[in-house]
Amino acid sequence: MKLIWKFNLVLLGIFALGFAVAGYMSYRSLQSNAREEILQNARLMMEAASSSRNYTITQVKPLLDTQMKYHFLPQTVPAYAATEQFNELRKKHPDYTYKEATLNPTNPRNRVADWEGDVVNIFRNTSTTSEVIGERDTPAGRALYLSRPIQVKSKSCLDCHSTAEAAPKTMIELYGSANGFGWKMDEVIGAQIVSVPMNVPIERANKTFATFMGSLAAVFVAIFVLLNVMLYTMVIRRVTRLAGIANNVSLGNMDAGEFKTHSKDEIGVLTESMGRMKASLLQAMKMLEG
Amino acid sequence: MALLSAAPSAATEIGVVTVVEGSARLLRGASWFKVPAGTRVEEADILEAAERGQVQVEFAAGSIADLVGSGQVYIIAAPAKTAPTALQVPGGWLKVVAAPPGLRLRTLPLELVIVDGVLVLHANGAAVEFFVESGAAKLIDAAPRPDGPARDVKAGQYGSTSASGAVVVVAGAPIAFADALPKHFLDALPVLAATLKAKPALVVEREITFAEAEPWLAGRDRAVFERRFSSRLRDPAFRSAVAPNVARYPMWDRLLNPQKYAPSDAPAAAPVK
Repeated sequence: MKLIWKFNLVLLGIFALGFAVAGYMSYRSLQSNAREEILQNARLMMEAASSSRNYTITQVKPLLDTQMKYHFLPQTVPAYAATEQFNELRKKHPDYTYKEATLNPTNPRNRVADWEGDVVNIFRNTSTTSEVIGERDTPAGRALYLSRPIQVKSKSCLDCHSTAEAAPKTMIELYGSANGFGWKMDEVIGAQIVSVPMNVPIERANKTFATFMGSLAAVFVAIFVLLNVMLYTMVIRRVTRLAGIANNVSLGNMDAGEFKTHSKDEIGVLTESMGRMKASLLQAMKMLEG
Repeated sequence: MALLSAAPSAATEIGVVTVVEGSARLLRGASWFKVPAGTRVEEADILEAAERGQVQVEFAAGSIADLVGSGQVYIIAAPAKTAPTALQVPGGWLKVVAAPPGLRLRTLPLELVIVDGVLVLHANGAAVEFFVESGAAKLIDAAPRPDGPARDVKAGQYGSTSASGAVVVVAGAPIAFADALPKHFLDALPVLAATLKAKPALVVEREITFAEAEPWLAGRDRAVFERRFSSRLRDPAFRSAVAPNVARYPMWDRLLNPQKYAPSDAPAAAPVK
């Protein structure tokens, strides 16, 4: 097997291994980053929703307490405030969703869907679980959901949700007396669920991966071609000529050519040495003939 | 004659006007005064707010009353410091924030005493409705007699006079009442007295006319108002307006027609000019 084939075979092997390892590592890293970005978005939105809840409880509701004696204002309800705030956001980002999924809600729009009920029950069954993260398919594509429990931690919650008799009359007028009662202190009654689409970050990660791997392949091809050109011009061609002259000289053909070089590299030194060896051989033969 | 020359006696300041919106004025003695924010109110003052006008008084004892017109509030002298300040409300919307010793709201068909709480009252003569926002009030149905038996009205309860004149109390304010409320009644009344240190000088608008005085002269405190407005008898226009119905006002009848009351053997005194 010729030297260049051996060299290229090894080079291709190294390139293939490097390509595979780099591809695997970068794919995993990009996918992991994309998922982390999605999760980060979900957490940010969850915090925004929680902030909206707290703002409503601490600042908005006290201002509307007097009005609540005449009309029930759902704007004072933290779940309503957080959902409405998120609905505004959804006008520009319709694939993002937020829901205060509740097993027994006052407002029917907060009632749990099947899969949401499973999430709520995880929180109800394991009190130590503070966050559930998962993925699911939606009509808009794959989505990641982040959920946290809604727990009755304040007695003020029970002002509206203990019994219909104890609830504000204005609230009963608006929502009726059938739902949203019987809550108990410290009970997990639902879950905040933020759903974030995965398509865009994943597609972005895939695109980045393709670009990276394409660039890497281009670099490998360029290196491969360059190394071959260099190997041929700097080594193979000179060694082949040197080998041809040496082969003829060894067969007694002293007119096969001269070992000439201007290079001072290792092949140049070898060529000069071969030239001196040929001259010594010719001199020795003349001495024998004489 | 002494009554005719008597100026309103210096009364104790019991509160300060902290909000004035639109058209409002104050009746002290028999004179109408402009009522800028910062005006000190005294016992026996009458505050009046025109249509959409608003005037709020913060009492020294801590209670607040906010009147929205068209309506009037007559601040009646409390019999004792520990007794609630009485406010007679012949008409208008009134929101009160009561602090001990509280407020006694007098209307034609009923009275309400609230010591600690918030209450909204809407009066239009004999038609009265009210809602207790917080605390509790005592309702005295004035129809049988002014000091009739009291009943408790709790926070969240609404009362109104029915067609028969009886007062009906139910849970929760009806939507019509809530919709008709002056918008700012849906919020807590602001407390501003501490920011109004200046005491503006009162500027007289004019004297009260007989037409303006007549409703008060026909009310529960007619004797008080006869005495209070007697100085106006010096005004020929007022006097001529009184003349056709002078028999309704015995005190004034004596002043205007002393010859009717003179002993038959004594010379008749000259009538008031």
